[in-house]
Amino acid sequence: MSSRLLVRRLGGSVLVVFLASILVALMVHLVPGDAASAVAGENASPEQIQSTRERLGLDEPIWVQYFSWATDALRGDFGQSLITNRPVIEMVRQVLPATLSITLAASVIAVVIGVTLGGLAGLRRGVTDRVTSLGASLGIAMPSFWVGMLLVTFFALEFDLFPVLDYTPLTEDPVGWLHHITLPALALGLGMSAEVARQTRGGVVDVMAQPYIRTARAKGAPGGRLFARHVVRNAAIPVVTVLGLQIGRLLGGVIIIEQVFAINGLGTMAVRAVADRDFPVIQAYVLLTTVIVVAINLLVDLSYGWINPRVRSEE
Amino acid sequence: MRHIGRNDRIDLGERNVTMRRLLAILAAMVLLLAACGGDDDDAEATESGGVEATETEDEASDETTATADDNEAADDAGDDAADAADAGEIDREATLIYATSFITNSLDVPNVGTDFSYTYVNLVYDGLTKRNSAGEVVPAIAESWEVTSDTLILDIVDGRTFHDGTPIDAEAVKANLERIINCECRFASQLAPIGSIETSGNQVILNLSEPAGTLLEVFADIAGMMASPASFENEDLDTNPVGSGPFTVREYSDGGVVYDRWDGYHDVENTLVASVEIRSIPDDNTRISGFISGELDVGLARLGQLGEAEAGGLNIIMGGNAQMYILALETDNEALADPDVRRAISHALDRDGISQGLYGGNCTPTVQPYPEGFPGYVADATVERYAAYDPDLARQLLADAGYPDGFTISMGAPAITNYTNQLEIYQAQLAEIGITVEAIADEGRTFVQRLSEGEYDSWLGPSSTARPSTAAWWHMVYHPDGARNAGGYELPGIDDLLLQLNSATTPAESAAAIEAMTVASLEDGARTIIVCSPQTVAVHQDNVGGYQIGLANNLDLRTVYKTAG
Repeated sequence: MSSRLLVRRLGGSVLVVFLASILVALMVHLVPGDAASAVAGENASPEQIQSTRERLGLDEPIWVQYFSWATDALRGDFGQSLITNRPVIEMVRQVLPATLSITLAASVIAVVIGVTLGGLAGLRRGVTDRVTSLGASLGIAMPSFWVGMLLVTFFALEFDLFPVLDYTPLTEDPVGWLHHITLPALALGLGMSAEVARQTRGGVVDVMAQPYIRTARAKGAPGGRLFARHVVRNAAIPVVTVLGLQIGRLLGGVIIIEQVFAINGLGTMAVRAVADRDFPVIQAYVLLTTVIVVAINLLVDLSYGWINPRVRSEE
Repeated sequence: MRHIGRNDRIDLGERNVTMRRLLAILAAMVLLLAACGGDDDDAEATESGGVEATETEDEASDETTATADDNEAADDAGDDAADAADAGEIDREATLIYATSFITNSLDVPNVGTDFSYTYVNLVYDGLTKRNSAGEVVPAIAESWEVTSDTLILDIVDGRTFHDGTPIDAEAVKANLERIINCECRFASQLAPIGSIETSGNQVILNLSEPAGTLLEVFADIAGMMASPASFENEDLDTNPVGSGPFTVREYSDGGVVYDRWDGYHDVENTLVASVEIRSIPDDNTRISGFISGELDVGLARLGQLGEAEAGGLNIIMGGNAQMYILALETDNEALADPDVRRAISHALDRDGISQGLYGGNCTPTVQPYPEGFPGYVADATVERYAAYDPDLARQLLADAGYPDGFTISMGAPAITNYTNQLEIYQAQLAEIGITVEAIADEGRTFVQRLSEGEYDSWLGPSSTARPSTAAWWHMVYHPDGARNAGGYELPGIDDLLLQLNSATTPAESAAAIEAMTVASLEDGARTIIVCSPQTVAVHQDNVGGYQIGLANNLDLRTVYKTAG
C-alpha cells in the first residue's frame, strides 16, 4: 500500500467523520420549534428554558456551538445526560463492552459459518450448493429478532441450555460471558453468515472458472493447496467487502437483539435516548457508530491491497 | 378467561408451551417493533403517555390524628410476611429479582422524573407518611399529625438515623421539605400550599397558605421521601442516595438498580431479603420469557400476556386500582364545549365491548375515576347510567346540540399498541353517531407535549387518579389552570369543591368531597370521560410471596420475600 493511497483513504475517512460530526452537533436544532423548550421539557418555566438554552450554549452562534462541542468530544466529553445527569462517556463505557462482545462474536460466527459453507458450495456444487443457497436465502430473509425469539424458545425455555436475559462481562466470568452471548451472537450472526456464504460461494465459483486454476490443476497442484493458495485469496475481496458493509447492519441489528435478550448495551441506550430526546446521548451514539463504521470501511479498503496486489497496482 | 379476584394467587398449567409460543411469536414480531419504540407496561405507559400519574387516597380511619399504632395494624402485607417469617420458610439471604419495563432516571428525590420511579426510590427512603396496601395513609417518619385549616403539625419519630448516621429529626425534615419547595423540579408545586415551616422540639409545623389536608397523601409519595441533609451536596446523589429506608444502593446502571439490605434499619427484622435487583426490561415478550425461564422472580405483565403466563406455569396476581383509561375532550373546541355533545360521546362508547374485545373482560367499565371500595366511589348505581352504551340516545343528544350531521375532531394517543387499539375503536364507535375522528398516534414525549399545548381536540390514555393526591388529579383535569386541561374547561364550583376536599379533617369528609366532584363532573357532561378500570397484572415464581397490588397504584417491594428452594 503506497503512503499516498493511505493518506488519501485516511483523509476521506476524516472528512466523512467531520461532516457527520457537524450534523451530529447541530441535530438539537432539527427538532420542531424551539430546541431549548424541547430539551427543557413540557412543564419548564421560561426561566428554566432560558437556563437550558445557556447551559447547552444554544444562545451562541452556530459555529461557536460546533467548535465547543467538537473540542469537548475530541477529549471524550459528550456532556451529561439530560435525563440521568450522568456523564455520557461514563454511560457509553458501561454499555460498550456488551455491544462489542455481541457484534464481534456475531462477526466470527458469520465468517466461520459463511466462509465454510460458501466455500464448500462453490467447490462442490451439486446438492451441497443447492442446500447452501437455499439456507442462505432463508438466512437473509429471516429477521434477526425472529431468529432470536426462536433460539430463546428452543434453547432457553424448552431445553434450558442458555439464559434468556442479561450479559456477563468477559473479565468477570469468561464462561458466563460465553453462556450469555451465545444466543444473541447467533441470532445476529446467522443472517450475516448467509450473506457471507452467498458472496463466498459466488467468489469461489468465479475463481474456479479462471484459466490459472485450470493451469494449476493441469500442473497437478493438490486440491488443498490450490484452494488455500489460489482460490481463497482471489475470492476474498467480495467477501471482505460484504463483511465491511455488514458491520454497519450489525450495529443496527444489535439494537433489536439487545431488546430481545434484555442486554444493557449501546443499542438499548440509544433507544432510550431517542424516546427521551436525550440529545447528548444520541449525539455520542451517532458519532461513535459513525466512527466505527468509517474505521471498518477504511480497514476494508486498505485490506484490498494486501489481499490482492493487483488492486495496489491499479490504484 | 377465568376470573381472578384482587390479589388472588393462581397456579396454572404445565410448562408445555412451545407450540403456543411459536404461534405467539408471529404476533410478537409486530409487538416487538412497537416495543422498540418505547412500549411500556400499562402502568408505566402513563409515563411515556404522560397522561399523568397519581396515587391513591386513603380509605381510612375516622380519626383526625393518626398514631404509630395505625401503622403496625394496617400494614397487612407486612403481617403476611411476618407470619411467613415466623413459619421459618423465608430465605433471608435471598436476592429478589424484580422486572419492570422502566428505569428511573435518578434516585435523588428532586431529580426523579416520573411517578413510576416510586418502586425504585421507595426501597432507599422512608417517607413522612406511607400508604398501606389498602391505600390508607399511615404514619412513617411522621408518627402522628394534626390537621387544622391553616396548619399541619407533624410529630417526628425519635431515635432513627439516615444511612450515614445523621439523626432523623424535625430539622432534617424541615431541610428536606425546603429543598423540595425551592427546587426547580416538578415536586415543588406539590408542596406549594406550604407557606412556611417551623420546628419545635420534635414537631414540624407547616403553616399553610391554603387548606391542604391532602398533603398527607403527597407525603406518602415521592415528594415526602426524606434524605440525609448531610448528603445534599454529594455529587453522586442521583445514583448513590442516602435515605433511611431498608436498603442502600450497591449499583445503578441503565439496566437497573441493585440494593443491599441496611442492617441499621429500624424494622430490619421485617426486611426479608438480603438484596433486591430491579431489572429494566422494556420488551414485554422478553420479560415474560425471563419469568418462564425462571430468571426473574416477580414483576409486571400485560393483560394480553395472561394466557402465556398461565401456560408458563407462573403465579398471577391481578388487582384494580386508581388507574383508569380515559378519553379527554378539550372544550376550546366549539362542539366539545357543549355538555350534550360530551354526554353523546360517552354514550357512544361501548365500554363492555372494549373491555371484552381488548382486555378479555379485565377492564371494568365505569364512568367514575375511582374503583369500587375506594374512598369517594359513588355507590349510587344510578351514576353508572352515564356509562350506558346507547347510540340512539347519543345521536339524539347530538341533534339536540345542533349537530345532527356530526362533526370532525382530532384525537391523540400514545403510539403504543394498547392505546392505538383504543384509538381505532373509539374512532369506529364515534363514527356510528356521525363524529369523524382524525386519529393521531404520537411517540410518548411528543404526545405529552402536544396534549399540553392543546394540539388535540381530544386524547386518550391511562390516568392515575389518586397520585400524588386526589386533589391534584381533580385540579389537573377539571380546573381551568390544570396541566391536563389545555381547553380550559371549568367544572362548575371546582374551587369550592377542591377547598372542601382540602379542608376535610376526616376520611369521611374527604370521601364526600370526592363524591361531590364525581357527581358534578358527570352532571356537566364529563370532559374527562372514564372508560374503564384496567386490572394490573403481576406474575411471580412459586417461591415468592408478599407482593400485593395496592389500591394506590404505587408498587411496593418492601414486603416481598422468597422461600428457600
